[in-house]
Amino acid sequence: MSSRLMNRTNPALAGFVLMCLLCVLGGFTASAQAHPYHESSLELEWNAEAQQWEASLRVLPEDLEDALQFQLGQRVDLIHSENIDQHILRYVRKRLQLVALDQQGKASANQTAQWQWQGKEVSHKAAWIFLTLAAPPPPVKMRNTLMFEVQESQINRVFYRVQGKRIPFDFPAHHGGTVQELLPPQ
Amino acid sequence: MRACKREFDGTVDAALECLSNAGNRLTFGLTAMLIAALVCLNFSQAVWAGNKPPGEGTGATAFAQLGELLPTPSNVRTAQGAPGPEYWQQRADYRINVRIDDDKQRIDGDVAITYHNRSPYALNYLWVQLDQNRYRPDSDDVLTGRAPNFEEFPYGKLADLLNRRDFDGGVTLKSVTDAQGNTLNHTVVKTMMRIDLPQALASGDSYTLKVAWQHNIIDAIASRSRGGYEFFEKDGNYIYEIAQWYPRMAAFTDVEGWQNKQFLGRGEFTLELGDYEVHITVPADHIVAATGELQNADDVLSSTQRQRFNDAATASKPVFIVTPDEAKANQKDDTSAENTWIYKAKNVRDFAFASSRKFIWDAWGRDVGGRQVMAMSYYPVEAEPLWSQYSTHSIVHTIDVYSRYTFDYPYPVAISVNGPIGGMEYPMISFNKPRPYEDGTYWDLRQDPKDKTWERSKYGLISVIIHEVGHNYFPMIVNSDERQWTWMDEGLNTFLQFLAEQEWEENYPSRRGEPQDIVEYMVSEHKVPIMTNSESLLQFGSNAYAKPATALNILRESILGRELFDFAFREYAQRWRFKRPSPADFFRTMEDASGIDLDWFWRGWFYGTNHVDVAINKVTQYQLDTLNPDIDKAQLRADDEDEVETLSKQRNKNNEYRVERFPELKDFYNDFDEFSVTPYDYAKYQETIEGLKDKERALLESDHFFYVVDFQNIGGLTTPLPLRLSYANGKEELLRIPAEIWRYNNENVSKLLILDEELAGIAFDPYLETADADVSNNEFPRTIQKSRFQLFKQQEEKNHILRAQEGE
Ligand SMILES: [Zn+2]
Repeated sequence: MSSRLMNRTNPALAGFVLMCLLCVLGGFTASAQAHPYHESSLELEWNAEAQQWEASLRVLPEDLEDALQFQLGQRVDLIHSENIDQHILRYVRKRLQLVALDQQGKASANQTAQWQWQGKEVSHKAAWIFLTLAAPPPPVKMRNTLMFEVQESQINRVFYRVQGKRIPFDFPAHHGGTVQELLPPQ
Repeated sequence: MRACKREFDGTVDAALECLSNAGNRLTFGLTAMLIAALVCLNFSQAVWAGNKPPGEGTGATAFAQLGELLPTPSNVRTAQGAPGPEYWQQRADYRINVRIDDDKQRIDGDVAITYHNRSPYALNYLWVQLDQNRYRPDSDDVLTGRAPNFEEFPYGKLADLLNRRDFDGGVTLKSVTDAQGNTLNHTVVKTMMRIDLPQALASGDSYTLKVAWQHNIIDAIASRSRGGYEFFEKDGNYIYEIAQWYPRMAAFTDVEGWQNKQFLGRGEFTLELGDYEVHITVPADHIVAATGELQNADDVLSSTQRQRFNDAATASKPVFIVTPDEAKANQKDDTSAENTWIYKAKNVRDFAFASSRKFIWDAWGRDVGGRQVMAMSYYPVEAEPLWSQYSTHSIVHTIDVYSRYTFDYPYPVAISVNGPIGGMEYPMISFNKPRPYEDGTYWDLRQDPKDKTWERSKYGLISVIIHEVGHNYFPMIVNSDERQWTWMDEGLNTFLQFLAEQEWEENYPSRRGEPQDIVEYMVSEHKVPIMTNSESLLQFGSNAYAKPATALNILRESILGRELFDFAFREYAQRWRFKRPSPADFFRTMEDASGIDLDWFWRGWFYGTNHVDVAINKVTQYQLDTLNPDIDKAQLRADDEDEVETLSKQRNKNNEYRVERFPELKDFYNDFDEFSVTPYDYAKYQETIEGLKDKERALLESDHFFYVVDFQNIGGLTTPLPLRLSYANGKEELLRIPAEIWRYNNENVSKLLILDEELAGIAFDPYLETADADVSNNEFPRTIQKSRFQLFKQQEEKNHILRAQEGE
């Protein structure tokens, strides 16, 4: 088995981790019938004047809560849980990355700056997370695996605002589409 | 005739330039002249510029009749989309005994099925569904599951798979016999069982078979199944929500023959209608909620409970039959005694039930079309205080609204149960999961109606109850085949859910239904048409729930209008209530009853994957000549003077012209001012005016404005064109152009607008009714669309100012 999961952990430990996850899972995971779509949407723009990426991330609140619960091993809600904003930010930093592309179109290894928290809005319909990132400037490659670990039907949509257009990119968990170049309109 | 033409290329800073077309002088009668001038101008411009709009002829494809895509109409299913004179469907009646083993979480049951062959065919064998076999570790569902994405550590999927591997699932058959107890030959094929009849079952005959079986109840939370148990660690109790639990007759239909799509988990059910009598044996301290009416209240309810039940029937609000305090007391103890609850249900396609000693129970009787319906909710204390406030009310609201759009709710009860199932529908009963937020497992006193988490729990609950109770209409009564077509029940139901939500309170936060909410899905990459089999759908929820719901909303609001749509939709529901429609029956009925050909709409929204994106690319203004020489010649002179003086002309100014040196070379035309008004012009004008018909003269004297607006269909999905015209004087007007404008060319179309006022701007889809994906090209002149981030920052700044002011 050549999965990362098995490479990094011995089988006994993996079993233990999954047992714990099962405990956490109990009580949260929405059934496929009630809420059969698991989608996020990220609108992203490079603000040349401010020299930063400006992003608004929209998620279904319960999906993000599920993801944070997996990570933290305890129940959370997006409003009241202690340090919830930091937890969200840490989670986003882990699963949403931009790396620079050199002139040959090769991606550099690491993101050079970290997402900064700007704010959030939570309602029944959606939770919005507002973020900025100082570098790298475009052109970039994006890795977006938000909530892939929770729902295999998760699909993350990205709308890159550039040159007056809003260009859509899909990052679906199931098709393994985790990394894409954010290219301006052809 | 000379037309002045102003072109707007749609950019924000486009100069509003008036181009003179002095060369185009035409002398037709006025009405003809006006049309001809426009056409000629456009024509000549197109030819010389070589930019004839592409796509001529694409309308034929977009507007082609569905024709061969639909089955040939017959006397079973007519061209109208109605059941024909030879329509038939099978029927199956069930008498079941079932016992829940509360120690082992196991079902023991026996069933007698009486199958009525109403088809015109003799049947050598019968197919029975054993849905629980999906939970066998070697089921197709397990074997055909695709690998999760291990790079991303898919906890949910892995937990699911491990749980399924360890669960001893599947049906253990104890006996399969005829009515007399003689064993029948039978073959289990995955989630189905073929029963070979000793002799063929003739058309019109009935046959009774008996099955005794056993199966383990699955942990519904770990498996995310449609039925199962929830265990409460704190008090050691269970809630059982039992579904797909007994051998059910597979459907035999004129469309598919025997239903032969195995149960893989996603495509739900296709079932026969029938009558049920079910005896449910559970621990004596349990409360049982089930499809149908309780037959032996005297045996299983206390006299107090029976009294409360009777009171509830005529109460003005929900009444507790088991109060929260009684439920709390009840869940402390256990018992080895048992009770049998007897339920009967008529004309249902399935039977489900729930049982627990944890249940609070409230009820409220409502009059629906002169019949009494008991709306009832069953829930543990963990669901409080949310459930007693909203559940039963949500049931009643659903019945009120859905009945108005379809038919009167025909069943005696409508039930919502709180337990482990996220949201799942059965006849008369539904399982709904949302509970208030909580820190621990128990009632969380933090609940505050002003709290955002409360808001989320509340709307989450109301929406899911509306949805699941709404499924009584589609597919429980309008009995579509879910195994084939998820959209036929989920899409129609999500559409009505949206209408019901919007009748709950102003600006109810519906997640689906508004056209703008489907846009992101419509422009996404991995999608298939709505008309795709349930098991092969990509982006399941968006495809089968949200897209058809939004399409119907658009059909209702922007294409047919509410009155026509509601009439046709109700007709469909009534034609097919307690019958089994196919997609063609829906498409045909909606056209037949509305009188509008909608093949282009079904083709675009249900058979295609294009999205709506219309751009206003150009607006051209034409002005009419007045024919009055005083006015027209002055205008011509002005136009002439506006003409650019070429470089050569400028440098030639100082030429010593030959005609100046030899004046004898000059004639009349050298001195004639072509823009001066001559007596001839006046005479001609008078003559023309007198020659005009009154109508034409009125047109000439009025101040009309002529605009040609060029639309481009970038997204490819055919759409009507709702337009907002903004006039220079500040007035606004809404103009709705039907989608048929695209019938010749589905890519580019120009529309002539004859207006009394001068235009200042024009906008396509100003009220966000078409699901247009790119609103930045909808307006002329173009406006800048702010990003969500910019709007948030603006809002934040505003809040800072407000806070600062409040601080003073
Ligand atoms: Zn549904």
